[in-house]
Amino acid sequence: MELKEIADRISEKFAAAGHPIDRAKLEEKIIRYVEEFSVPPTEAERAITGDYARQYGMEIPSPGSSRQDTGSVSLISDIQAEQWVTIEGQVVTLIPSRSPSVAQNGVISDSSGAIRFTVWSKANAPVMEQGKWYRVESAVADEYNGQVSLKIHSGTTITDISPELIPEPVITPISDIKPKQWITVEGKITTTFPPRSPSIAQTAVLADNTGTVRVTVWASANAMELEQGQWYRLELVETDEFNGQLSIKVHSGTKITPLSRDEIPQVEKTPLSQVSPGIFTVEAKVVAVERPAVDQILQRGILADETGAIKFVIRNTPGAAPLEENQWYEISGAVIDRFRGALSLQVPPGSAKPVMEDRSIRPNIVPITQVVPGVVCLRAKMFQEYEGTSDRILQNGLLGDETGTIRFIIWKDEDAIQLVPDMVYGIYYASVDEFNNRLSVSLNGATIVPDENATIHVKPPSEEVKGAMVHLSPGSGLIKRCPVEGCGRVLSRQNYCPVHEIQPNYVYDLRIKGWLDDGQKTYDTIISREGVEELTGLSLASAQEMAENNPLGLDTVFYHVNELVLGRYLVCRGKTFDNRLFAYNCEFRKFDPGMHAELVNRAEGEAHE
Amino acid sequence: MSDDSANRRFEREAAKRVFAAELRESYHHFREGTDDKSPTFILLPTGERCNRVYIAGTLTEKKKSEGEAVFYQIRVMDPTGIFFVSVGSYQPEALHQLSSIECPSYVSIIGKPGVFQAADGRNLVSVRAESITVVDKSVVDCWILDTARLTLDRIEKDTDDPDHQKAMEIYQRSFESWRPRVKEALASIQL
Repeated sequence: MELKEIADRISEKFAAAGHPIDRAKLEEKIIRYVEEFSVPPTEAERAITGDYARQYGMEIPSPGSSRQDTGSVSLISDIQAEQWVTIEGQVVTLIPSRSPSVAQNGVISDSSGAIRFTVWSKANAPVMEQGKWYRVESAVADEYNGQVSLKIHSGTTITDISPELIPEPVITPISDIKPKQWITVEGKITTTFPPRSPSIAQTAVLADNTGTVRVTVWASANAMELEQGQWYRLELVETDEFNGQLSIKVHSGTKITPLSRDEIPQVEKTPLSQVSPGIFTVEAKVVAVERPAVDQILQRGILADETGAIKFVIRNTPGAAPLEENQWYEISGAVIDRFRGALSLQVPPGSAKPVMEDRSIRPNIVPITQVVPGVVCLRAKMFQEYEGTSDRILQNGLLGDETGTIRFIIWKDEDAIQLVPDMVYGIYYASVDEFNNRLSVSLNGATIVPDENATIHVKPPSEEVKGAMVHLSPGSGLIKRCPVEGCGRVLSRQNYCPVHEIQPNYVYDLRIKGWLDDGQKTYDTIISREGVEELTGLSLASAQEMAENNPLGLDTVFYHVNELVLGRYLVCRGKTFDNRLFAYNCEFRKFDPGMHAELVNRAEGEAHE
Repeated sequence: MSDDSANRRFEREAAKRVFAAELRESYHHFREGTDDKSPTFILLPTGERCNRVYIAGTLTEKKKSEGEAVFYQIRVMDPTGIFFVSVGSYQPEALHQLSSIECPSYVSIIGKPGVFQAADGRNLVSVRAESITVVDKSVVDCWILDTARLTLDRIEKDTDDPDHQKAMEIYQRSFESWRPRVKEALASIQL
């Protein structure tokens, strides 16, 4: 066991210097570091050795950095500069060498990523071929302009990988695409754009049932033209990311195969609540249709099933036919897009088959705090009305339910009617948009049913700041306030109010004044008595008792609160003005496993909107 | 508007969240403005200035320096490496807190980072602690999430920010190269 070895090394070291160490204590210490605090064994050994050395007044030389071992095969994505590595990968591109000292230049790729390589002429290495797999032992990674590349020198061994060991080419779902890889994808071209530069032959959007991605076809690829509506397999495309947007590049090594009707992957029916940008088959009912405002659009409307609803659009192209209201349809190969955060579904010509059976749908009512851009059903009270700001707006304000509030807007049109303050409404199939990070629900076109007998207790709007308490100011804890009505100023130690002078009949209060810091911004924060009591479990009465029974007086409460709160994560709700926060409701932030999973995905570089 | 800018000057600098691996690679430091009281910053390799940091991890070692003034050098470990932290008599609060903390313990620290030249000429980043608190493991885990999120924000931020440009020029290292450190940190959390 490794821990035993550490204990052996440490006790030998000190025994040799004439300082025997209590073995049991030592082992207990090591276990405490390594098991309880998951400190890596090397760091634990260092810390404990240092501790004993100081105790006995010995000098411990610091060990030099250990050299990376080179035996095992590294993943290309893990390679860092200044490493000796062994990799196995496929040569995906060769770039002509421009210098006599360089024999070959290119890119090699494995399932984790791709890296540029340079083979020095002096290396006398075998010539590598595009498309073939090799094992490259003891190459050196170095870095130039932030770009890590692999140098193959005379000490590097290159061997062919026998065909049976070469991994099968896999088709990567579009949602799994990560930048800087060479992959194979399959999908349907949903849109094509004219090229913007002479070096580009074509740009397009490719979709499968997991997502969509932009495709760039280099002019130098001499590739066939991609046709809108056709399915393709693209083998060995390079993936890239620019401004958070993933794309794939078709180059001369890419093989393009149009898929025949039989080869097109069958897409199963997906509930509307689970669709995302990509190609889907859905079965849904037309719950609203709208006159097209422009010539290019034949029809707009809303489709719904038992799980949710989505906007649809039918373009005015040959073969396009409108859908009928209140009719169910199966729509195969529908293209889902995202615009301003909201999903929409494009019905391609000939893709919608009427379904005769009519099922009733119970609309899925969503709590306001869970509303996302798209189409929603709500049950909410008209909570607040805003002054009109535009001639085009009939009414706007806030809708509220037990979970929170959301802005609503009703545009002027002939069918629009105003909401009555404090009335509860069932609102079906309204569209939600996002502007400046703020959601707003537009009620035009939605079905609105007042419920005169209902009442809802609306949770008033408040802001939430999550951050670390990085400093508590004097004036936190138990304070004395001026008792004069309407004053309430904090008194000095001598019970002096800056306006009403000495006030011996002060009233006690509890608060926290400090800096709450979210890593981007620091809020000058005051937490009210309710907030402090809730957060710390210390009531005003027990704080008073604490201060009166302790020689340090008010300071005791300060130290107590400081100890509980400083350096910890809080979630505070209240009002903010600029960088000030008045919080009346606070709790310690708990570890959020959902957030952890989300960040793990994000760190993997998965496509994000 | 002049009023506004005058107020702004007294706005407190946010305490940045940064993993040990990134902080120890930072060496560029600069002063904003010319007078003595203007704040000094170090520039993180992911393109953000920082005048104060909030860190959390395991206190593994606490070394009291010999000499008249009480002065501690401590090591605090996060999943990516070690923070070097100093606590001196100019920070009586931190000194008082530290005196009763044992190794190993989970701690959170607020402090100011500085770049120093070690005897062998290497740059060393050390944090001067303003406060140090014993916390439980959930605070450390929250910190790892928070720091992962903010580090990813920096990695993925648009490139027109001047600090971003400066970091590219100075450190000559792609921001994406920090992503594996974030993964490592997140992987260290055992659910």
